[in-house]
Amino acid sequence: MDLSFTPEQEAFRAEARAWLEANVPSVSRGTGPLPSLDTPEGFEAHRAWERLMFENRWSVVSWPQRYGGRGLGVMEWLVFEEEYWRSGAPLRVGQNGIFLLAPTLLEFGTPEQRERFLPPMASAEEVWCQGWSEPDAGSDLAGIRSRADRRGSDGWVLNGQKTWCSRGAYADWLFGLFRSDPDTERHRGLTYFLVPMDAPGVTVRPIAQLDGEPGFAEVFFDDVEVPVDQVLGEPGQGWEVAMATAGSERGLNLRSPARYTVAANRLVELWSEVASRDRDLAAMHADAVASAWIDAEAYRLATYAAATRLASGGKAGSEASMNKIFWSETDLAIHATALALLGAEAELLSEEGRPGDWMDGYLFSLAGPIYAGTNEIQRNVVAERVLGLPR
Amino acid sequence: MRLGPDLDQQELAGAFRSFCDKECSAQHIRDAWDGDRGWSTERWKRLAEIGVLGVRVPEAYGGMGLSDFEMALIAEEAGRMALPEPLVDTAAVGAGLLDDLDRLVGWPPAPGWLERVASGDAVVAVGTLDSSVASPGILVHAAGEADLVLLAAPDAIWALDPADCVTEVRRGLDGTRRFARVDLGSSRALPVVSGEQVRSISVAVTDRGATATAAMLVGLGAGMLDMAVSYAGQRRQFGRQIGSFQAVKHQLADVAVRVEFARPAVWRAAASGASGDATASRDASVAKALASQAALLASRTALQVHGAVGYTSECDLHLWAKRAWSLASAWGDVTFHRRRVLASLVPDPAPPLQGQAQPMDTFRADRGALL
Ligand SMILES: Cc1cc2nc3c(=O)[nH]c(=O)nc-3n(C[C@H](O)[C@H](O)[C@H](O)COP(=O)(O)OP(=O)(O)OC[C@H]3O[C@@H](n4cnc5c(N)ncnc54)[C@H](O)[C@@H]3O)c2cc1C
Repeated sequence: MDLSFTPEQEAFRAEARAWLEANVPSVSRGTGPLPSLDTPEGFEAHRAWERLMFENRWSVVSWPQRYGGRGLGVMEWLVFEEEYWRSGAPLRVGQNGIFLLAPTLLEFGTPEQRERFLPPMASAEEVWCQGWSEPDAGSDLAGIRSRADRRGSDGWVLNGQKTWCSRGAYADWLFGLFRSDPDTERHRGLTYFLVPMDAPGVTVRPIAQLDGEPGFAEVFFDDVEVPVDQVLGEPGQGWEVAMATAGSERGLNLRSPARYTVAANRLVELWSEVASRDRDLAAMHADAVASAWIDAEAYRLATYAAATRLASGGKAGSEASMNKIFWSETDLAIHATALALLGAEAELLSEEGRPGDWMDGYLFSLAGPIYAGTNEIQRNVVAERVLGLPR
Repeated sequence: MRLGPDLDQQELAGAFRSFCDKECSAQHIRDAWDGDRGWSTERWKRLAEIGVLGVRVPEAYGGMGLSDFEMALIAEEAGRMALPEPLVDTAAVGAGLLDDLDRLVGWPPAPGWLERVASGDAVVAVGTLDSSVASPGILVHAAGEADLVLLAAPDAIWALDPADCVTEVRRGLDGTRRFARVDLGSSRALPVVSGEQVRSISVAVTDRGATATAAMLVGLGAGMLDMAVSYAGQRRQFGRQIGSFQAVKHQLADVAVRVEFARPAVWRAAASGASGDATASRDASVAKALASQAALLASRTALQVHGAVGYTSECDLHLWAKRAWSLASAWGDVTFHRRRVLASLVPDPAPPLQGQAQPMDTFRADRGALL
């Protein structure tokens, strides 16, 4: 056991903190907060922030240097994330690409694909969305019907419909799963494609989320032509490739603990402030506040334990499903408790019609148990693959 | 940053696990229930022989010279097999307090109690008091079977002969746990140390008790989960294994999640206790709140999954469940430790927390809300 960071890690932390403090969009400098990510201006403002990070090599610290990273390890990545969320920096517009697609590209992509796609992904010059779900295939992803047909020796043609694509309203590229062999069923005969959103035949219909903003979109494909070098992995191997992405989505990569730690600390601050004027209200919610903070701390410690295992050669497996259940419920508990402390104040909208921070966070946390595989599906996975219960 | 046991530490825990597999079957636990002290003096001797009682006793006193961290790994394994002996009391809290007294105030003069703990020659029970104004008759686990009773208050520590302070011994619901009523007033003993210097030592007593008990609870929770999973794979209803029903799966998955997420918090608490970190008390409370919650959920779920057979004392489950219920409130229950965490996070004790969650207040709090 060694709970301290190395001097190099501490120096890296100090460097990250200093850069973020000087550059994060902020009210005091007149550069922030950025407008909602799900509006056209907000999207471009978030893109500009990513570019600034990329230019200073903060965008993807754990990636190899040749793609714009710093070649750092998982511990340094966790340190960076702690500093990122601590500084109040915005949500990352490029997250589907950098946290979900990139690890998959590094594992399954050709050298040419990595060279082509990773740097512009890191700079948010190309923002990616995920095209997996379909109207009739949600939890049962293997039931997808959108098709890929071979055309000649150098291309494919895509037809069908994807839905709930986060940031699909403004994204530049989509990574998606298509049925490439019409004679197969379920997990076989699927292929993983990389598709530009401006390709002829692609139509996007934005969908308003609970907060009223078009945070996701339906995407229609009508005879969309895609060259063979935009297949990730082998044709027909799409399911295996997709499951590697899913592991990142549920587990360590996308969900660094820092965002929950920061939210839980803000909850304690809110509670403390309430306690100074309304003792009874604070007493009523003390247990819930403490419990939410403790769960965020448990998630942080479990992440460090997992990173320790990874650093000594272990592999992340079905425990990703446990993580997903835990972080999503923790996030919900943090925000629901804050709303209880705030009462009707939490419901008030701004003049532009936007919910306040806690309500906004609460709405977002409500989606956690649904996306990245619902928590019911994760419980099935834990029960069958981790505990070995009969199917 | 390394959070988790290294190879040597995993090996130590693994060796102790094999010991428990051999020497501590459910039948052994039942025998312990029937005995007059709730545990086996022969197994105690063997625990001493394999070094477990001296894990955190300095080598100079015949121990292994390891820390609270290794102790927590041992305690988790003990929990998994519901080991009946007062390991946490003597080898974790007792040895820890004796070690602190030896290093910080030079009591007791060597050779003394630490050697006796390591060699299996002494059972030590530890209780805590809110203040040195002796509250009549606090309950101290294992004090009836002990050779030495240590009582820690914020400003004083007593070392007592059980003959002078134990007024009665009662069986607990868990037949391995016997509680003694300890009356400081009747013993009229002087503390071995008192004053400001005691405070941090006494706080460490609560932290160590909470952490080692949390480790045991994680083991108990994992043990009950294993029992429930294996039962769900055997029992058939409606022509299927009950473990194939999703209502059963999801409950067990939730137990697995709570147990998995309690374990790293126990490691953290044990490590920061061992190195005297500034956050040691908070880390201990985080661990104990999570572990108690996990073990209570495990017991509740395992009982439900077993159905009526789980409600009998013929089924082994109750040997684990009753231990978990007792330990979930020992050294502070879920509510107590949540309050203690919150109190540590706010700059001044905010009004709703005043008068609550004093670090010493261990046996007072109600049983966990989940029961
Ligand atoms: C905010 C948000 C962002 C999203 N972003 C994307 C994205 O970028 N790209 C993308 O492809 N998708 C995205 N999704 C879609 C998401 O992956 C799906 O919503 C999810 O997989 C569930 O599918 P569904 O909505 O069709 O629900 P359904 O599968 O219809 O499920 C409905 C309910 O039934 C339960 N259920 C279904 N099957 C089972 C079962 N076997 N056992 C027990 N319970 C079951 C579910 O748990 C759920 O409670 C997003 C969703 C949200 C909410």
